Amino acid sequence: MDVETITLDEFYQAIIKTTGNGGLPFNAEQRQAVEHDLKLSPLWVVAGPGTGKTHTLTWLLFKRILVDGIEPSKIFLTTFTNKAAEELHSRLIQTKQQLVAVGLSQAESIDVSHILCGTLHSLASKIMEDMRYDKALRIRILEDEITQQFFIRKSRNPLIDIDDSAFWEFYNLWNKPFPPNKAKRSEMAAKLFNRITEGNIDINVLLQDTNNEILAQGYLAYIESLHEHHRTDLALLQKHLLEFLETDIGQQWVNTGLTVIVDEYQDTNPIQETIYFTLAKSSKDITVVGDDDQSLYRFRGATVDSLLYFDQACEHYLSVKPDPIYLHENRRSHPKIVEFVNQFIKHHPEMKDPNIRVRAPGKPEMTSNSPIQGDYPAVASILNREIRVAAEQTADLVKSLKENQLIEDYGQVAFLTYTTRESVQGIQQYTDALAQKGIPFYNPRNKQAHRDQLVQALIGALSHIVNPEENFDGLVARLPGAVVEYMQSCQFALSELIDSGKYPDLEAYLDNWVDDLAQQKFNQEKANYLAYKKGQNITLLSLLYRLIAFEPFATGLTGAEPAGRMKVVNVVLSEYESMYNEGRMRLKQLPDSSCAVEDWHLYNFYSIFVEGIHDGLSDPEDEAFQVQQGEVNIMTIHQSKGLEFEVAFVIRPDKQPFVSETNRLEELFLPYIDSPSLPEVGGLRDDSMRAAEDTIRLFFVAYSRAKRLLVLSGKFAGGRTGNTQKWQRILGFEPESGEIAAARDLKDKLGVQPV
Amino acid sequence: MSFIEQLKNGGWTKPKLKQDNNIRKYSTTGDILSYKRCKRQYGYFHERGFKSSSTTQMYFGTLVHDVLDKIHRIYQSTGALPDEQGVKDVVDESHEVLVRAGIRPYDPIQQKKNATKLLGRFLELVNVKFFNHVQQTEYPLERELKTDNDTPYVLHGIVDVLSGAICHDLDLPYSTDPGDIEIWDYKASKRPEKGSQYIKDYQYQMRVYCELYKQQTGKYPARAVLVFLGDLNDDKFWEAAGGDPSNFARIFYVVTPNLDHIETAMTNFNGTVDLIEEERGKLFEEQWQAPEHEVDSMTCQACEIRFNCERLTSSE
Repeated sequence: MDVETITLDEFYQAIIKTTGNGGLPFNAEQRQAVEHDLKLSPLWVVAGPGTGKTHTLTWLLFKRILVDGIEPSKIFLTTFTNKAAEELHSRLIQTKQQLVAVGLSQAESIDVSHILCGTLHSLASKIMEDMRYDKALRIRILEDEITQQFFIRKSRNPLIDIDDSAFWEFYNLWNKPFPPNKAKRSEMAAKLFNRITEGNIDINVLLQDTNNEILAQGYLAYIESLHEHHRTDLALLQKHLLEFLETDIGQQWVNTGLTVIVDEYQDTNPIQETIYFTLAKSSKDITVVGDDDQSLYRFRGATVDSLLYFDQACEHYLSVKPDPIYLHENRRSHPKIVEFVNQFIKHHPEMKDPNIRVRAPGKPEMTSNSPIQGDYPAVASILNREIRVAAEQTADLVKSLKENQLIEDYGQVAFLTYTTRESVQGIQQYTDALAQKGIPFYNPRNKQAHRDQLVQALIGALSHIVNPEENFDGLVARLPGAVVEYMQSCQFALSELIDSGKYPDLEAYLDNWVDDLAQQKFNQEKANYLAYKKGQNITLLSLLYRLIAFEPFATGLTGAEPAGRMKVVNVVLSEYESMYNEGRMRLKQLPDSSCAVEDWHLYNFYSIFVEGIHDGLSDPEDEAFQVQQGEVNIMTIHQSKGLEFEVAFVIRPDKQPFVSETNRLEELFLPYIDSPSLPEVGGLRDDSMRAAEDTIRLFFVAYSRAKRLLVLSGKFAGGRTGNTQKWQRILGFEPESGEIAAARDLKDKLGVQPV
Repeated sequence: MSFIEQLKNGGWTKPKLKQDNNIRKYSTTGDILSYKRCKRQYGYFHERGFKSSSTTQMYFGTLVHDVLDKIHRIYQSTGALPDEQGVKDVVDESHEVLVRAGIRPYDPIQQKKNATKLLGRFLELVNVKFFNHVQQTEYPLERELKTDNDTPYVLHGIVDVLSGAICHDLDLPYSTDPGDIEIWDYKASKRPEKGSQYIKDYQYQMRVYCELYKQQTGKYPARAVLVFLGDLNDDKFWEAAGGDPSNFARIFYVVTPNLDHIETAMTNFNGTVDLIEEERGKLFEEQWQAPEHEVDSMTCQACEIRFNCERLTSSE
């Protein structure tokens, strides 16, 4: 059904009715954004944290539909994560319902579902499917990095055979005295391939360069293998979309005139930038919303320059200048938190440069207009020479917040860290302290999850069935030392369970398997699977499902965290199966005519699957965080993007990112990337400056999550030997004494130390 | 003054717990019927994202859908339907895509032969009288609704074919009109027994689609037609029909919009959405327990979480 248009005045009258307080729910800048005339220029919205970005986007979109007469199906609205897209979609539905409820009949015929709302990946899939783009029909996507690495190994990509460290060192991916193993090589190859795709690099040009020729050949081989198996990866999905947009059908679609709205634009990479401008080519109607200070994904090929130099891109692609609008009124956080965040970002010399834009030009400071007020220390610190003490004091504070009824639920508290790895260096002392005080916490993406006893015992049990001799050294090829070590600890975890005598069912089940296999006479016709039971072939995955029915795994499944970890094992195994023999474990004949698992099947189980688990169960940056009630939520700062918490503890802020391969790759591939928003070759800042920018932005995001209370908790050694430099960086102010010499210097600025 | 006292005396206000305002999408087959069949299975594989190992069952149905979709597009661009060899080519091509994408049949040669036979016969039977009326394939239906508890949700579904008066043109024995709008859904299987759960589920799905269509366009379709292609395999029936669709009523199962039936289906749909939302709100350890009702043995056998299920304390 077509939507009947109304005047801006009628639109506003309806909005006023929804607020019930006689006024429009916009400040001046928000209103300016909503009213923006799409025919005049693209819109460039720079919106600080908590400044009502989604709110503005939503009303802007309804104005386009109801007042400007844009058809919902012509709106391309994209954001960064599936979760954010779902929230946005929900918001659109709620807004429509509000308008209908106050009697705006025209809103009734708006088909919210016709709006193309999603992540760029999901929209690319949807568009190509709807338009029946042959190359992408029924295509399978390598959904994560582990799967991509499995594929690279399975397809025997030539880069996997490069054991010359110099090749990898050139890309700054390797700096050890010994060469990387195959698993590591596949990981590095994946990283390079994604960079090439995300940079929209012309592979033929790269091929001409002697330094990059081998890489380019490896990339081409990867593309060919993907094609052969009708697969693609997430980065390439965007490339397919771009190719589709260049076909006749694609161009016809673009020429119908699309309204393009991009959220979280600060984390856009060159291929995405090209896609957005290609989509907007005919309409010239593009709105981008983002905050340069919250750009976090350089390591995935994103470039904050896309937002900082959006004006240049507009002129290049559309020959028009965009209209900049700054949303700066923060309604989320206590005024003291806003002040702290403002001070932090403007203090750093790295965030200023007379020659290039490090922050959006003309960006004003945030102002505070939050309903949360009160004259209490809303920013505080817990510091100690010993992490253990700081951790205990932190746990005490969490407990007293709850006991004193300052919060309703532990779920209102978040621990944000650079890495959620529970190691002595990481945050283990904090999780220990929480556990000791009986405070429940949720840390699903603990990078050490593969060290979890339950996960290890589960892997140990699978291994015990396929390799009862527990022979890891005498396999057909040599396993990486780390995998052997890992398997030994899995074995140990399993035997601890069994030896405890508490799990006789599991023990009997495993014994049965081993006996069955040992007594089974080899039969060529039945050699493709470990066993057939009740007419079903037993694959590794079905074995896993049988195992998790036994204690202690079964009880593990009833807890969010252990269940989540076992699920990840399940998912990685299923990806492994889809690539390696569909889970078959072929049998071989032993000299006494009994059976054992065939050599290469066994080797792959360890070298691919177990290595995949061992390498890290998941990418904490990618997975959407599902906030749990009743538990303190522990997540990486990356995961906290877009979220807000009543109380945020930034844990171990003295742990920070540093110059990495990302910075090298950025420099290396710059000459091959064609983007109007990127600097000229040689125009990049020094890599240490870029790494510093990233650290500063990371903590800017962390601090601005807090609504009522922000606490920095970590190790502070003080004095000459201490880590004062790191503290200077994450505080963003000079103490009066000139440098941070003692915890006192921090306390002066941060208010009282809450002990 | 302790830190906590400073907060208390400094005008700290206790925050309320935030409600999850997300509006979720529900479909008939993916959510409602799947939940009703077994909520534990639904919870593990749909909600919690556990992966199952069996994909082979998908092959035939997917192939048939893909081929029909392709044939429709060929008809649109050339104005002619493919001949026997043409159908075989499209089957081969679609099969190739599925196999490359890892969706494999047990016996590819036989299955391809089967598909070619069924689809060839279908084309012969319905001919351009069917394809002439096709308005859109994979027609999306989506609506924002509310349950009786006022929980907002989005109901969505995809109809295989939205068409004009196919039944009228095929002379099928219903009260038809040249102005009819119809919804068609392909099933690769044979028509299930009358009164079976399968038929009930299909009816349910079609009734929900009729309601969705009405909400989206303002009026009900004249009818929803399920076409059971599997029955075309039967040589005896085929011979007997003599190429006349009205003699082959067996493959067409018609659901005519009936207000009472639709209302019952929608009430049930809404109620199930409430149950699913309620389940999600439970503590993790209490979620997705085995259902108290009977679960059919086929469902359990195909379910990998069965080993860890009260309904099936397995002896395997």
